[in-house]
Amino acid sequence: MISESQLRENLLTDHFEVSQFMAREARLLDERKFDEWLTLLADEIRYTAPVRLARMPREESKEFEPPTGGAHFDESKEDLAQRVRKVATGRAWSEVPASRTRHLITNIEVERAEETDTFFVRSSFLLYRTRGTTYQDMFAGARQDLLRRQSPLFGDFLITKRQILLDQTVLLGNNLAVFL
Amino acid sequence: MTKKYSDLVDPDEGQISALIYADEDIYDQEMRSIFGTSWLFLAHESMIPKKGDYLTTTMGDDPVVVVRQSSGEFVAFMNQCRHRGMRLCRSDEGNAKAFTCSYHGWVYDLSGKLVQVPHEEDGYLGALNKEKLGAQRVPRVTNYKGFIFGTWSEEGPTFEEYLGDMAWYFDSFADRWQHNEVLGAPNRWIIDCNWKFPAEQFATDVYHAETSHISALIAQGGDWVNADTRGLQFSSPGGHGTGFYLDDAPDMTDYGPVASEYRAAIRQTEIERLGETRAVHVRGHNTIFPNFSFLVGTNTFRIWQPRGPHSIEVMTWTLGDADAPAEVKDAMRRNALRTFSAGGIFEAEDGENWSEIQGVLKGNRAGRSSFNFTMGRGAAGHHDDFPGLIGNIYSEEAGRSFYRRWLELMEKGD
Repeated sequence: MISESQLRENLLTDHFEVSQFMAREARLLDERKFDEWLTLLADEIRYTAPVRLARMPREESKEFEPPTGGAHFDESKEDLAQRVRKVATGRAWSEVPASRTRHLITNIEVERAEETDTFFVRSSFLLYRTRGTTYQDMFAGARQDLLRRQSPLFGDFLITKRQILLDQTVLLGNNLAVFL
Repeated sequence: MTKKYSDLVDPDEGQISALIYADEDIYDQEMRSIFGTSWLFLAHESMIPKKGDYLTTTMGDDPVVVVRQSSGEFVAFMNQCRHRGMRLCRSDEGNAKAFTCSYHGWVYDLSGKLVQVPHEEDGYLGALNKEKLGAQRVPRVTNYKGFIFGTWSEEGPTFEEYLGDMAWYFDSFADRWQHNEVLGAPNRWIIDCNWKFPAEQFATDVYHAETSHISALIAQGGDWVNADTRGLQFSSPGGHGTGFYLDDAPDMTDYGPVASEYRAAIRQTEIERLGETRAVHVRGHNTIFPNFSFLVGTNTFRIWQPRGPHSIEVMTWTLGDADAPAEVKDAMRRNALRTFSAGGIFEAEDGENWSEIQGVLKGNRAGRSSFNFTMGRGAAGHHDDFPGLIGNIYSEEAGRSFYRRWLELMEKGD
């Protein structure tokens, strides 16, 4: 039986360790170190962003599309790697010259999942993007991630699942060619 | 607007003034002359399969509700209360028994008829003629092989007549499989560009792909460098257009092994339905005038909804073979989303091009410049195997036809 004080200590260290991991991930994206970012993703990752709909109250449970429905992303690691390869060509014109982005990750809640060394993480994000001279857009939403500890090293996790719940139904941006 | 439209648009010479993409008055006229008279895509029947299922969309920039009736028929009406003009239905889709205006409570039935008005007796003193106050009905709605189109024109060509020879090409998409199913709710996003840039591109322009989309082509792999690029382009007096390669594997995208096996297995059925020429080769980019576009193979289809001269809302869906195994449908859906959606590895560059052009047109001199549509002038003609006017796939003939139709409608007036 784990003591109350031990439990509290676990929660504090879990939260700190996961928060640091998420900050590092966000930094890699904003610094456009996409190859390094890929190393944080598990081979079996499912990266999804279901389409959201404006619904009447009694149909609110169908606000987000089901796993077989409309999505902004429904990707495997290979799909994500393909996106990284695309940018790396230097001829992905929607990223030439590159966008400047800021991934702000907040409201982090960490739970230990059933399986050992696995964490369920909820967070909110705000992705600010500016391109060229005056173009800008913003995407806000929630992330629901599953992280698996890879080694005892501090913050050594892999993202095994990411679901992105965007707040916009009609996206207010020319494209969504960004990692969320 | 003091200039005549024919001073701005010369389809025969392939000269198009940039003014038509950025002028408020021209845009307003387009809403009347083009979107007020043409057949416009409303829905696919599988999006609203049951009685009372509805979705909200727009015809041009006018909001409409499309509803499945108990008879199975489809009705579309203006999403606007006849009392004070309030939006009647404020969700994207759902199922309803009636539509109640949230301003004063006027109630419309599934066909848009006004059926109940609060205080009808003590307020209106029984003098309100409800019969005459139904929501403004789209007078003609048709179901073409599951695709629902509507027009504000009371008279004029049927949808089949409106398509003309384009029907043969549209069937390569709409009639390829016995049952079609739209795979999920649409991706919607805003691009800062005029609606004609995407509509025209999907009609006439495979030319941009090897430059605009080179990064996606490289990232996907495959030998696109040595690909056979012989192909044809269809253009039409109705302003519709399509281009397709004549090789056997023209898809820019790959569904993965399971779906490829399935597609190989149903190939013979597709050939029986469409004939070999059409089933195998007519798999390219398409626009049905004015703003409905689709890609056969990738199976994405979309409308470019005008939102003022400088902006569009894109609504895009994936068409699936309803009889395919779930795993195959899923592969088709994911493939279309991965390539052609707001986050699509191909689509992103298109939005970038169109919005950059739109930005440049803010310049006074740039906004009065002329665009060049001269590719392949005079080269199109009759082809024994393909209906309509046929030219090389690398041609702007379908673009010239698109603007010829545009000019014809704009000069006709409201």
